[in-house]
Amino acid sequence: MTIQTIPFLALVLMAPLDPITPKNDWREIEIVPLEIEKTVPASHVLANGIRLFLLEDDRIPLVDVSIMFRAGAVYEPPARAGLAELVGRTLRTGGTESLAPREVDRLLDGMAARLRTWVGEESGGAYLNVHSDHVERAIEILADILRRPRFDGEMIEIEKNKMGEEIRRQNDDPIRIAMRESSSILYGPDHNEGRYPTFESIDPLSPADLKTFHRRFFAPNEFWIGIAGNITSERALAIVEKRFGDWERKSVVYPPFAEPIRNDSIVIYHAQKETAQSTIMIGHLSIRESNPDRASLNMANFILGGSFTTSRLVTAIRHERGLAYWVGSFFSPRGLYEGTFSTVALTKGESTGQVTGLLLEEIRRIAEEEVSNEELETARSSLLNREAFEYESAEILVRRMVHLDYLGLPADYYEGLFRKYQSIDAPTILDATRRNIRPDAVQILVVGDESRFDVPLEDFGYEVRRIQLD
Amino acid sequence: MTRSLPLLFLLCCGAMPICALEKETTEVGGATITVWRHTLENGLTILMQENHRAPTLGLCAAFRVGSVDEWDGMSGATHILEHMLFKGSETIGSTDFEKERVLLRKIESVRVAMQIEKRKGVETDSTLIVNLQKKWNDLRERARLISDPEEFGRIFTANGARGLNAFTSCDVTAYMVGLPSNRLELWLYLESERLQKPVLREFYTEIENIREERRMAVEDNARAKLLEECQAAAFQAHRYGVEIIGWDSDLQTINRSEIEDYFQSHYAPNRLILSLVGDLDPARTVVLIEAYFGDAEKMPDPDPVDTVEPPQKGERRIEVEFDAEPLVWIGFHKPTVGHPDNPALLLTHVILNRGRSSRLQENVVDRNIAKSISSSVDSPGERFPNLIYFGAEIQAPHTSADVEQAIAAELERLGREPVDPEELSRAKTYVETNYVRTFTDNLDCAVNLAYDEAALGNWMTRTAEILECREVTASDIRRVASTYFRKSNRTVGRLIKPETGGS
Repeated sequence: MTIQTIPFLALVLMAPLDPITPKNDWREIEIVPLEIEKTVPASHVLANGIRLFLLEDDRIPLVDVSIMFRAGAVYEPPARAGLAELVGRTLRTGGTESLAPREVDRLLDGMAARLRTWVGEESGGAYLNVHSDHVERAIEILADILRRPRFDGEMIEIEKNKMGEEIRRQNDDPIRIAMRESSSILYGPDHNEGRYPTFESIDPLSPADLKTFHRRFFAPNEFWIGIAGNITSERALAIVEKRFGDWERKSVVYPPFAEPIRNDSIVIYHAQKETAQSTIMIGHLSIRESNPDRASLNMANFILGGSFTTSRLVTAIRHERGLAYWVGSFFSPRGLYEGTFSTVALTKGESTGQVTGLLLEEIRRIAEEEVSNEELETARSSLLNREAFEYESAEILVRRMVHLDYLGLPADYYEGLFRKYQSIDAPTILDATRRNIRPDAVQILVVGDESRFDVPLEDFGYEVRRIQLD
Repeated sequence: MTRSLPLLFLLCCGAMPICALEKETTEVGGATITVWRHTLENGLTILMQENHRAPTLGLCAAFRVGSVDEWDGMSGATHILEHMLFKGSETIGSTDFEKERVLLRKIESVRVAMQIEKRKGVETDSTLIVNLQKKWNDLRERARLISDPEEFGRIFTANGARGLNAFTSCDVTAYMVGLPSNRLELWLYLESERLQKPVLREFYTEIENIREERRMAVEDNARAKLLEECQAAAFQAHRYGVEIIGWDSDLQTINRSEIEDYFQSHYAPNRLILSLVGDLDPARTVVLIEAYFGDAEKMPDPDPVDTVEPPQKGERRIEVEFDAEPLVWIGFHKPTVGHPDNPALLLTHVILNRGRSSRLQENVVDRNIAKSISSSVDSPGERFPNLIYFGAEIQAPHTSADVEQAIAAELERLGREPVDPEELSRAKTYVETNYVRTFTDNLDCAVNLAYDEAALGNWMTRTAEILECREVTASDIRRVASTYFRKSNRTVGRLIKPETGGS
């Protein structure tokens, strides 16, 4: 094999500069104010209702296409749990009306394109990353996949088998068990967030079911497309017009869906698994995307367990006691129904009770007491100083616009959050946590080996229920 | 392979230093990649890329030290040190460092006294142990009261840090963070503190967190556990056989003073790469780095890793019992980056298992023999000869033997029949485009540049390998497949359910 010389340019730049004296204290370092140029992606609405966001960045010869559409498991018949997921998988693998499944794979791999499609709980999406040399052909294939999927019968069977194997493997990993069981506990088994595919629910799924789902919920007027990267907005707009412009608008009737259950008192759930560590999740249903307290809750969460370096949970459980590598808290908002608030810690079985107690204590404190001034100022400056990252790349900007517009939130939603971070005080945060965190309604889930526990779970004085893993 | 320029024109006009920068440019995958390089007199390497889209920076400090540089009884030391470098320095993280220094010394001597007593076995004086333990706990509590080990991370966080983290690999240790670009000097201040004079406070508490990390990342994770055991089987002599996080017994017995010694011998400016990507002025950046790191003294390299893994003589097979559905792992020894066979091996790996149209995905996964196949072509590291491996989740009702056979059939076919020209061309496009993708995000780019420079000696060694793939022919693929995919060069690990117990 011959070794090729790299095209290699060398240039030496010499600049005279004054030497700098290092500071003895970090507080002496001068921080000049930042000037953030707040670029806004171009937006268009096609005649058929497709919302399009575009931003050029020619630094690297790649193009990013992010698509969202309103179709999700929330609209699948409860007895067919897994239908929406299967649609998402076989959009990508099942071919199109004009291309066989393997042809799609070969064409995309030939361009080294990355293409993923999925259908989640409330929405679906597609993500394409492709070299700018191939962008036109790749978007043509993407449009074909989304508008005219073949849902090839053989590929559906293959994907169903893979989903079956995932069911078979669903109790292998304790973290995965905890995520699944916690959703079931919080939403109830009839809600799409709380139900999971079973062999019985996926077995009867046929190409006709997938085609019906696609026909009912895929419509240009429920589509959002973002294109960022090495492509001019004019060209991107022209390609989208050409490939999606003749798709006819239609009215989509979204069926009603089950409301989540309510959990009003504390219950402890235990799933027995012979692991070295216990996975502990404590939380309850909480905010929607449109919640007016978002800015306050972001700050509260930062202080409780959102910051990996400095937060109450990390300090108390990790730094002071050496009880966990992974500990934190999260708000996961949803659009159509309540999302979740949760705290998570992974600790050795022998400290399960101790860590559970610490999590409960901190949840109560954030909901009942004002945060300290020092905590508040650290959270404030951390969140505010991160603002520049919101404008770091064209992809970030475009993807954010797609998401905001899909949710029906204003284009300057993030600017609004940053404005609020500047003035929020401790009483405002407490108001928000009082409204949105309910220490007396948390559901406690422990996945772990009971024979190792430091205290019996019954000692907490709450009802204890057992989850049978099978 | 890569041409390096005559280094450093350090000219002086009176008191005004002149900063000499080398511009390295390469064309790959239709992209032009430009990196500014400067090397300080003490050997510290600086790599910079400009991206002025937003006032942000992706920053990485990487050392050419990984778990491969450890020795028996010290497994996990590199990773422990990485954790400990978040605990501050003499000026950050303490309210009274002189007092803290005394306490830290006492904590260490009581710890050593306890270890000496415990090692006496049946002769151990258990009352003495109890007393020492109590004294030890009291000392740690007193040190805790005058220290603030979170201060270091808190300064970063309050200044808008994004993605503050670090990782340890077999080859390299890297510390990374994204910051607003007006915090460049702050980053240099903080890094120079922890990388030059760290205080490893709260050491024994952090060890417990690392043991928790081990439980999560290895003990309770089926794939990771299988990988740990398979690597140990594949490498009998070389340190690549020892998991980065270390054996739990080593974690329990390593002392702070041993990690301090490890720091002294392995963290030197001549093994350090700083890479910065984003909104920066290269010349000014160099002057700032000179101010904060210029005084650090160059040091001799620690003992090199001389151990060479002897050629494998026959297939190795292991079993791991675990409460999870079955997995299988198949690995083959191979050379590393810089060896003339490596570009062909890189492409071989893509042809086999990258993209839906790759052979293993199409012929094994999409035939429902395996539920998934993951793989790596340069595992676990790249400073030394390594492995190409395939790890599969077996799809019921198939067995491990079915999957092993299906994968083996594809590997044999590759050594027998030339690949289709279009298939080879797809793989080449994949390799180049994917390399271009590594330059998209500021922080990722900073980490990749620093990592490649630390592991391979020069970041352009990676570019060179990518470009060499253009010359690879179908017969090269056939040759490397038949050379390395031999049964006698193979290690196979099966993860199975325990016969009793489990659920």
